[in-house]
Order: sequence, then structure tokens, then C-alpha cells
Amino acid sequence: MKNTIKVERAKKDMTQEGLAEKIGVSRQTINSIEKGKYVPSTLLAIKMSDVFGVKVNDIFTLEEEDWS
Amino acid sequence: MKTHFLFPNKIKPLGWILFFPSLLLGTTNLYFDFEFDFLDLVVSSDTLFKFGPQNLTDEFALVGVLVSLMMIGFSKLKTEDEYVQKIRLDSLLWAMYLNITLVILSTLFLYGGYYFSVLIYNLFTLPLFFVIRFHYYLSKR
Repeated sequence: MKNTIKVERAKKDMTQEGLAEKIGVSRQTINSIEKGKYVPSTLLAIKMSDVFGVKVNDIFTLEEEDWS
Repeated sequence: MKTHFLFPNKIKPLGWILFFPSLLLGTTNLYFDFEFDFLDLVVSSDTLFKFGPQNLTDEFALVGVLVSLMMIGFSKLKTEDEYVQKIRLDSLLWAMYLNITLVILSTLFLYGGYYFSVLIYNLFTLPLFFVIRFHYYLSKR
């Protein structure tokens, strides 16, 4: 799964730490999500969408291997 | 997603404080027959204790090790979020795999006194492996 979290953070001039604090997780969690190592829960994804003012589907996109 | 029951974060350092003395006590008891005299069980003269006088040092050591490992491994982290829960789960699974593999291997290849030692270690290796693996994952972040 691809995500545009880094871009969205840049748009809002937000650090990983800043985003983490806003949605109540650790910076390592944000880092692992950005790197594609961890898929966040629905709750977390919706919180991100809230913070960025962008739809969840515009932050996260499915890839071919997600379907296997 | 709510956490299953975990101890408060403050318990964790207490776990470390309990762990090392308990481990030391257990090791000295097992290998050097060290015992605290005040832990001798008072035994009545006509007795059920056919195996001779009992001492509770080894019981204290084992319970201390187990309780402290629980306190270390199962207390909340400062940021207990969903990613940490995933790491917990992965560590638990890894610890189970490792423990079961080692028991199988020792069952097949070790006998007598060696196997008996394995049985004793097995009393606490599962939480121990979990604690080691969990903290390894955490330090890698």
C-alpha cells in the first residue's frame, strides 16, 4: 500500500513527532507507517485524514500485491 | 482497539529491581545449594514430608523471577499504541516458537540430569524469551 503522508505533512509543515502527538501515537509508529512497514488501523487512518483535511483514499492507495 | 490488561508503566522498573536478585538467588540455589536458613519450613515430627526438611529459597527465587518477568514484559510502555501492540504480539509468537523448538530438541537429544535442568529452565524461559525479543524489537525502532 502506498501513502502520501510525508507529502501531506510537508504541506502542513508538520514533523513526524508533531503528527504523532496530534493523533496520540509514538513517532516510531508514524515512521513505520510512512515507510510502509505497518498498516494503521481504520481509526488511525481516519484521524490522519481529519488532521490533514484530506480523504483517507487520497492518503492511502492500494497496490497490486495488497490483493493477494 | 483497546489494550488487553497490562500493568501500569510505573510497575516496569520495579520488575527489573526484582528480577536480578531473584535470578541470582535461583542460580546460587540451583548450582551451589545456597539457601536462606530463615526460609526453612518448620516440619512437624510425624510428617507428610517424606523427602526430608524443606526449604523455600527455591520457591521464592522462582516466583520472584516469574513475577518480575511479568512486570517487565506486561506493563504498559509510555506510548502504548497499536504499533507497540503488534510488536508485543509478534514477540509472544516468536517466544512460543523458540521455547517449543528448544523443548522438542532437548526432549530428543538430552537425557537424565541434563533433561531435568531443561525442565527447570522451562519454568521461566517463555516469559524470558518474550521480554528479550520485545525489547529487541523496541530498540530497533
